[in-house]
Amino acid sequence: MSFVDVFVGNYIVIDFELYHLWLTGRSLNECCVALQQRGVLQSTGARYEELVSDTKDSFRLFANIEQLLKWPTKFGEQHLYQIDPVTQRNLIENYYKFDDVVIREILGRKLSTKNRNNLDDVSDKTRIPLRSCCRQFDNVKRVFKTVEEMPGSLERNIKTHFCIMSDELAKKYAAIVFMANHRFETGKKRLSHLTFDDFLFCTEHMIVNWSYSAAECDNHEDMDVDLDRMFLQELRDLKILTEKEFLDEHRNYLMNSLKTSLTKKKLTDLDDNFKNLSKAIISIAYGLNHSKEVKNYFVDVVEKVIEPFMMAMWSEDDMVKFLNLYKDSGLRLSVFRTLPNMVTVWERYMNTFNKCCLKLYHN
Amino acid sequence: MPGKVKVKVVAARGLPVMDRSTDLTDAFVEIKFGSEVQKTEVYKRSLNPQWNSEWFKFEVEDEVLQDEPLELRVLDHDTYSAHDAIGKVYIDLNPLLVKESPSVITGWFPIYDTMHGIRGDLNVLVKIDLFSDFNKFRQSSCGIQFFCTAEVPSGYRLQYVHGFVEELVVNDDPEYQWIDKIRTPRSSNEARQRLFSKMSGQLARKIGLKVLEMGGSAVIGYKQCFDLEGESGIVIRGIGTAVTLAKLRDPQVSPLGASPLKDYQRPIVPALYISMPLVITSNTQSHAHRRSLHLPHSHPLTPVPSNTLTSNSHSTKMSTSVAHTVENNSTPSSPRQRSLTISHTHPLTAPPMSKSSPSDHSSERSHFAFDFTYSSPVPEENLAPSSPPVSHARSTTSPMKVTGPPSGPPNNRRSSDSDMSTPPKGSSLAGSSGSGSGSGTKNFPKPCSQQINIELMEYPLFTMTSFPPGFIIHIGGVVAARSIKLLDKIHNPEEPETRDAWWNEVRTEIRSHTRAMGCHAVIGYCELTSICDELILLSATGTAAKVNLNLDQYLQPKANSQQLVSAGDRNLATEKERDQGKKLFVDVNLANQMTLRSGGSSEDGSPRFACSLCHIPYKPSSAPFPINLSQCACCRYVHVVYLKFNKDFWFLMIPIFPLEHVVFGMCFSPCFYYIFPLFLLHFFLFLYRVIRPKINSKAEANAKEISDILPFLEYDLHNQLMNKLKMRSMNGLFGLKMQFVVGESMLIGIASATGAYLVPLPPPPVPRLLGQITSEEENVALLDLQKKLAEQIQRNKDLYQLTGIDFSGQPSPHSVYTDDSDDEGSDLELSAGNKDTFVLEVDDTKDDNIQAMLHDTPHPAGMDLCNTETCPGIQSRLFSHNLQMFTQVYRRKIDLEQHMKTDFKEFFDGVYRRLFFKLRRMIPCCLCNLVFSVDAPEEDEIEVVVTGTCVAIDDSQPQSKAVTDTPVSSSASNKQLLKSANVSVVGASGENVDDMMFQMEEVTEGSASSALHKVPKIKAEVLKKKQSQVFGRTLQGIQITPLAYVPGAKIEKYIGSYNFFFIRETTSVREVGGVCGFMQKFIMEVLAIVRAHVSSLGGNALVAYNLTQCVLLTNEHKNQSQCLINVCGDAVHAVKEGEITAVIPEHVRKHSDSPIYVTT
Repeated sequence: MSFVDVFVGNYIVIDFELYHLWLTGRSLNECCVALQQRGVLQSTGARYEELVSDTKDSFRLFANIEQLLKWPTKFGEQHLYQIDPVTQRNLIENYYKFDDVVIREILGRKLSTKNRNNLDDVSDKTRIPLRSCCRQFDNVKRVFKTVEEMPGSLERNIKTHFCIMSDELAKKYAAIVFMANHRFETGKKRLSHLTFDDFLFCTEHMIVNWSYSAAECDNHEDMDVDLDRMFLQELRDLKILTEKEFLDEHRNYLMNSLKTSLTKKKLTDLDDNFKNLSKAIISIAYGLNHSKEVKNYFVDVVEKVIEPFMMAMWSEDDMVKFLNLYKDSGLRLSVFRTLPNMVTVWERYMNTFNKCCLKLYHN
Repeated sequence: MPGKVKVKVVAARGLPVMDRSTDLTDAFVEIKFGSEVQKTEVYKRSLNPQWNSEWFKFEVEDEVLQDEPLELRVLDHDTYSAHDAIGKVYIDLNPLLVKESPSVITGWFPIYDTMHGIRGDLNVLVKIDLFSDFNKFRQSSCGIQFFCTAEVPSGYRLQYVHGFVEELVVNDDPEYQWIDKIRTPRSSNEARQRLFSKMSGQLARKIGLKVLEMGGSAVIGYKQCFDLEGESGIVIRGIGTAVTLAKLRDPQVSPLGASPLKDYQRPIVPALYISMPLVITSNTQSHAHRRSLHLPHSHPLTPVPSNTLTSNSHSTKMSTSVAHTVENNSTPSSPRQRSLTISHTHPLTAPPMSKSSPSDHSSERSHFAFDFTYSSPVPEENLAPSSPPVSHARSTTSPMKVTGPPSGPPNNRRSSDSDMSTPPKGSSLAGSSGSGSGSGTKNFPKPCSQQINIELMEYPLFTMTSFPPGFIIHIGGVVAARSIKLLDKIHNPEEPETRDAWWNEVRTEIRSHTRAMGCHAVIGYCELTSICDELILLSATGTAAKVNLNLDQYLQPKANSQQLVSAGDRNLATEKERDQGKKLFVDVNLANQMTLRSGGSSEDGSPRFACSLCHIPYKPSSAPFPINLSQCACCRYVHVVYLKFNKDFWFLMIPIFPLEHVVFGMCFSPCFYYIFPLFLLHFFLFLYRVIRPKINSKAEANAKEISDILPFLEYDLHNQLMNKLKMRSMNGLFGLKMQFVVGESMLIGIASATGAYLVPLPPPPVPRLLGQITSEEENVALLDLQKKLAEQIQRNKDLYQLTGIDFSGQPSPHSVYTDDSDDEGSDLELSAGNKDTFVLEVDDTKDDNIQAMLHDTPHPAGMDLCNTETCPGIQSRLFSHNLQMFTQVYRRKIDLEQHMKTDFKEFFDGVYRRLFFKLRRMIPCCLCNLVFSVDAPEEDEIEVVVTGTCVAIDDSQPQSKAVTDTPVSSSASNKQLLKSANVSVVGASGENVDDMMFQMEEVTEGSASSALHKVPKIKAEVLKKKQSQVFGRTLQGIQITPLAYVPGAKIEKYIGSYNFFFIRETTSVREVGGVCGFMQKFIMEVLAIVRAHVSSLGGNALVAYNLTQCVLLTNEHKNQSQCLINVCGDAVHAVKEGEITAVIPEHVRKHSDSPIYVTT
């Protein structure tokens, strides 16, 4: 009914309650209803009309600020909005926060306009409004495009270019960018039970241990979006472990150590399957050299390593024991004595691989 | 002084993409000053060009310096076609012309385009080299400072008040010139902006010349108004008060400087439109006092004090009045109190005392230092120490001298033509009251030739809204003059005679009204217009008062000695008397009584109580109109306070005056509550409005119609205001602002004011309903209504915690008796009238008004409202920081048919509720300086622009904690003090001992507990509850506030005033989010530009911010919208309390520093 109804302050004051609602992609009316149900009006004696007016005001403001939020560094060089640093930080951080379920769906998709237009199904599946899905998609895409080619630490780049203060959020984005960069296949049916958190955990460890920023890597100048090429080349040397001689040796060591801690049935199972299993683990390792194989890392891990154990009803504890001993007994192989630098490679690979496996080892 | 302007264009950032093919811009800057244009090089292909240009130099005359803004135009270079405009930056160079001002303007200025808004920023450096004038015969007003602040700027001392200055400049509106038909909207808007800017520069220059002529050095309370008269042109009017200001010595140097001076040290007596600092003063004082009880050892008993007080020198007129204030507050004349006061009175002579007093005392009191830094360097001669009782006794004898009639020479003030025009009754009375005022002024010695005689002023109008203590002697009431005119083409813009004549008419009118009220000056004067087609409504309002222009303390001792010599002079004797009276109020009351009995002029002998401000300035018997008088509830014996809101008065007033102009008297008694902070409990905001449909007819008939309706509208407004006031059980209004708007089909009047309970005035009577009862049913309804009314009143009383004091206002039978006898003597039978009955007429449409009264928009707990600068009843110390300055624009269609009144009420209720809702998270807070500006842009549309500021109330500070923690002890101490005070009263006056004492004690107890303790307690609770809110922290950045001070900070330096007229237009309303989106963006842009200018001058806040004009034109069919906004204010550098005052030297300031937070 009102024709002009605006409220402007010298300081930008954000109603974060409403901001969250806005970020969830709800429409103006939905927001108003939600706020009303939370009893905003009771405390002030205002009417619904005022709530709508306030909400409209805020929505306009958010829409204006959104341009800045997309490139948060611009906050520093604009006069239009006088926002104090704390509010600004909250604004940005909340804008870049995302729903794990949505990101889980977006992961593995190409960040293309075509895919953006097809977010309806994501929205349907996750029950998160389309607008919010689009925002999250756009954020991921923007962050990815910005830092993709940048040298230096992924996390630090994200922090500086998007003014994200929280380590946690920056790490998450780093992981997403890493995954997007390697186009990890996550959409397969086989992986559908895995959550974003699983991938996040694995990727973080991959970044920390396998990328250029890893402690073992000498060449820190390069981007940590990529895996350490040197390491990948060294992984090829592990192929030697798939030779029968070493496989048997490895199996013997392992079975000896496991003898006491596993049931008979599991031991025989393991004994029968060890060859395939070990081959699979090592082929994943040297497969990391080929970007196509890298893409399928998660699929391979689940398909070749986790699923057999799952079928055999191994518990997580059993898994822990197995993986640790698998790694340790490997070190006792004669091969490592002849090639000492393979020890580091083996450990660098197995540590992270074990963590990934354990994280992904669930239904 | 001609000068050389040097400009350096450093860089730009965030430019828009002007070349679609490259997504880049080839920018260059055109620098225009006066008629000269220079250019930078083209910086190719960049959105962040770095020119780092040479210095561009412009040698110009000072007139150009003052009139023209520096214009920087950013363009996109185009080889083949015309260059595309990106936007402009206008820089007003006036701040550089004042000495002790910044020597350089530098910073990032938003590049503003009238069609696209802000498009990037430009980094510029501007310097001026002034040549000293070689032609000494030509006067230049360079260096005259203009303050929008309507009070003495902090850090300055008022030396002289020279009086009213006004000027108006007229020009054709470019929007209405033929050329506008062929040029683009952009160039039309820019032409307008440039013209407005130039005109306001001219206006200021002309006013500056006038000020120079008067011998002043600055203009305070400078107001500039734009009348967009449409076809007939634009008129820019400027009014202000010419004054001579002296910079205060560095506070650090003064002995008081040990403690940081705070903002509430501003020594101001609030006048009508103000409520401010005194409230503060009062509170702090009572507070200090209480504390002093806890720390008795900290007050050295010095012999000096009482002497100074008793000294009959008036060298420290103000100081004594202040001292008196203290006394009254804590009635016992305890040496402690005095010593404190005195230490401030003579900071030079008694530094050790002030030092020895606890630091918080000195800081709380230090506001007095302001006045007294220059006070008599020589201690008074009469230093014989005497104990307070003795001095009382001594002065008891003196009052007799007062009894003589005021011996002012026969009133020979120029009788203006307007006096003739006032009705016979008024003019006849004016004579007698005039004589009173005449003598009042004559009383003051003329120590130097610079003395200004208010009687000689053509227009004794003061645009200031608050004054240093001692400036106001009496307050008469509200005066207003309105006039409806038909706009005509201004033929000769150089000599805008018609407009001048109109305003002169109005001013003369208001002057004559003032005289009719027995006053000789108008304070808080302001002028307003409303234009609708060819009709223009001019209105001027202010508060009639008697003032003392000769404030300069420095001059007083000299005068004193003179006076002593000519002791035989009766005037001087009176003067002396009065001074004593100030200290020893009881005796003076007696004296006063006598004066009254003997039929002498009432005001001359009246003590300079703080409450005397609300005593009527004229003889009761010769009141200009029948009014109800009653005794002043504080001094009790003096019966010069009149019941302010009297209905009869209105009835009588309105027919008397010519219909075009209405004068009315309402007593605003703003000042004295600083003595009685206890009683001043709460305040609230009224907003009352009446719409009357206006019949469309021809212009002339229309004008007549309006001038016929106007008085009734005004009456109605006042009536409603008073009803409202009584509903709230309050008896005083502050900051009354009235606005009348002529719309196409309606005439809107709105009034807003902050209510307060003032102790000296009688409590408001309980409304009684009266109606024509024709049936039992109606009777029942009426009774029901009456019941509701009573309930509502009780609720309000509870809300404002007035219950404790209510009965106290009623004199006890005994004292009534004595008073009555007095009354008979001084023919005050009028007071016997319907003092206690307040009748509400209820007719068949009863529901409308009464119901409206009953259903008032409640404001949320913890949020206080006032339209004054500080909130009465809240110590401004608690105003910890500025939370938000806001502008709300609300426009909607209104139902003109049946439910007009209710719809109009609903309109404003909606505005309120929006405000409350918006600011709900800021609680506990106080919305200060709420200004409503109404307009009727379309036939059935109303627009209101609300501006104000939200100030956080923080009573978690240690001092107030003390209050809340120890309510019992402090109230007890209060009581004790009052008791002793009463004793001394008794001793001196020797009559009505027991009754008085009993009475007063009760008063204090009730009020003390209710006011001082309940309020903070409640506040504290609120605070505790809400502490988790986000807004606990202090905001940084550039503050903008409509207040004259920065809450929680001290203004260190005034850098210059800012005034600009923004025009914004869009041809894509829908795309920018509708009209709302357009407005929101535009207001934000305006604020952003203002902030950038403040920071470029090295300031960090803009005070006295005022959005003087906001015109929104829109055509939804064409998808077009245009908006004009005029803003003004004073850029200052403020330092937070407790912060180290380190002024960054100019050259250190980074050229590129951005005022906004840099994200890290």
